[in-house]
Amino acid sequence: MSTDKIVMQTEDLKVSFPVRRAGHSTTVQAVRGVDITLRAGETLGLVGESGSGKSTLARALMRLIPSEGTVKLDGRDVSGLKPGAFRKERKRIQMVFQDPYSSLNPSLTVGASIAEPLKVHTKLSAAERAERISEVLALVGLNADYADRYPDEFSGGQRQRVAIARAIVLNPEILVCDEAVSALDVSTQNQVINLLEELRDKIGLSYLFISHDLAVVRHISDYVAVMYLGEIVEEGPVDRIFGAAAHPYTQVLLNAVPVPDPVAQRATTKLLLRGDIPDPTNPPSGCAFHQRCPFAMEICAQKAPPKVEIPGGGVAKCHLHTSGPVLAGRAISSLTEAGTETGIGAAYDGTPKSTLPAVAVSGNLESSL
Amino acid sequence: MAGLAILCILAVVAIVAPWITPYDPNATDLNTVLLQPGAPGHLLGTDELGRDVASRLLVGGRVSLIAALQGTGIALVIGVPLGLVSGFFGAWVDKVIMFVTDALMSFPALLLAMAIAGILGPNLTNAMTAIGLSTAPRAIRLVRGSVLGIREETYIEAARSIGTPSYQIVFRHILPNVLAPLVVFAAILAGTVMLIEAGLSFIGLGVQPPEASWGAMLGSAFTYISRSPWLAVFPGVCIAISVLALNVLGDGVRDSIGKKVRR
Repeated sequence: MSTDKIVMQTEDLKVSFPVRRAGHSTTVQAVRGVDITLRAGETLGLVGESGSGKSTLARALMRLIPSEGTVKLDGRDVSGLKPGAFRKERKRIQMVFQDPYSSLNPSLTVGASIAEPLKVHTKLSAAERAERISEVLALVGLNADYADRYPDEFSGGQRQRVAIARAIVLNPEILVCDEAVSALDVSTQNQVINLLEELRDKIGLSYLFISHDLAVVRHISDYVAVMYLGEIVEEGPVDRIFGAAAHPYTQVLLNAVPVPDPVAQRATTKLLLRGDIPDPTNPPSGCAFHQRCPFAMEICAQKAPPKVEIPGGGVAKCHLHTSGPVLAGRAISSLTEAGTETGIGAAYDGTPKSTLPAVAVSGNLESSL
Repeated sequence: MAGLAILCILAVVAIVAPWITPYDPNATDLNTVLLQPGAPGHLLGTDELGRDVASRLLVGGRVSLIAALQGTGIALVIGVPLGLVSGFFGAWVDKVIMFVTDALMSFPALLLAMAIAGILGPNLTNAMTAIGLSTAPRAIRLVRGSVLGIREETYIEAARSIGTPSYQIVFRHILPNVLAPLVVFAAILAGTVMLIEAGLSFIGLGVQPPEASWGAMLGSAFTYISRSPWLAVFPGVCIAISVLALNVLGDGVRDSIGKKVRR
């Protein structure tokens, strides 16, 4: 489905916020040098825990918050553009937000909300706008008469359809979906996901699909990037990521997804994650994940891991591929199957070493059931 | 909506007042001073100069209502734009506006109005300007507070992601959603303004003799309170009813908005 045309690319994208803590001010590096590439017609899934910087990345791409680094749309660097000049680019990249209850202005009719991008970016007459609004309402599976109604007359799923209609009314190339189905119940989720897939085929949209829900991401994505503490720690084609994760963090996330069969569930090796996501004002030395990694080695605390090409596609940032057991691109699961005999310092032995309570990453499976 | 009904009656009376007064409200008749209510020809009696109290109440009500409207209007005209700017743009603009507002709010509104009316000179328009200025900080605070809340809504972020210019975000997305609390506030503020107008007229900084307003009538009745208490009772009751009606209206609007979701 995807072609080789790159519609969006970021290079070393960084976002930092000033924070004031206990009187003195410091900065939080919410996004720490992210390179992502989105190809035409492709869906790039972005996963990670709460606080990993997924939404911040989306907001930086939409220029809702200031960022450093390069963002290219269709190969053209737009990161240096002034706000006025960037406004023209906005019709190419639009966003769907998480909460359909607050993303629509309650005092405007649905039609007025959808008309807004047309008013800002086109010179269509009122009649032409009305025609276009009926078109997109039909496209998202809503009755054209709904244009005159107010958002509070609609359900969550219908509102999200309206929000999608607003986002596609200008025929953008890219749609950034920030947890766009997370606030919906499961059956509605399915409908909205099907709608997104339908739109991809009909009007050739590319998606940056941000979610903490691995099942949804696996279903919709062609390519997946895993984010941890503001960095992409692993990326690759969806089947490679879900079939042979090369980064321990990815493996931990995958293991946290419950399996419907209780027997199979008990049989899965439970890689556990210690503690919470680290304080982004004071990120750990070396690899940001080393304090929580079940396979942490000495080098992990000292040096940031290099990017390693993984056979089957994509890259991972982990020392395990170059030091210690030298996985050289093999999946993390090959370590856990070998058990303690791998001989690495902190190899996973079935029990957490720390006296801290071990927690599974439950935050990432809220709606995977 | 008892409040609304009373206000409608008051408004209609105020509008037609000049045509329904039984006497010229400013005509003195020293042969009939301080008549009791119920005296022949004078339903509510006469004051110390023999002027018909009923006529003066009707015309005075007109003055008081216009004054309340004027004062509230000025407060909103000053308060709404400043509150919007302060809340929406934040940063140093917000700091400056809030500093001045806080300084103004540390004075009692009546005291401030007295000072301003004293400087501008005693007449009704100046008094209303003074009241508007001294109550504007409350409007600024209310609008700023609502804007701060609405600014965090996702639909503002959505509008920015669409590329909607800031002024359109303010007028299309923020102002309509500030309107609901603003209507409630305006009704209650009008009651307060009416009270302050009465206070200013009472001490002679508002409407000037021989013109009548409820507050001015109350002021001149003060001298005769032990001999002719009704002179004070009638305008006092009128003020009380109007202020009560405005407050009830404000509460009613708030309740009905709460039920219907913000629209």
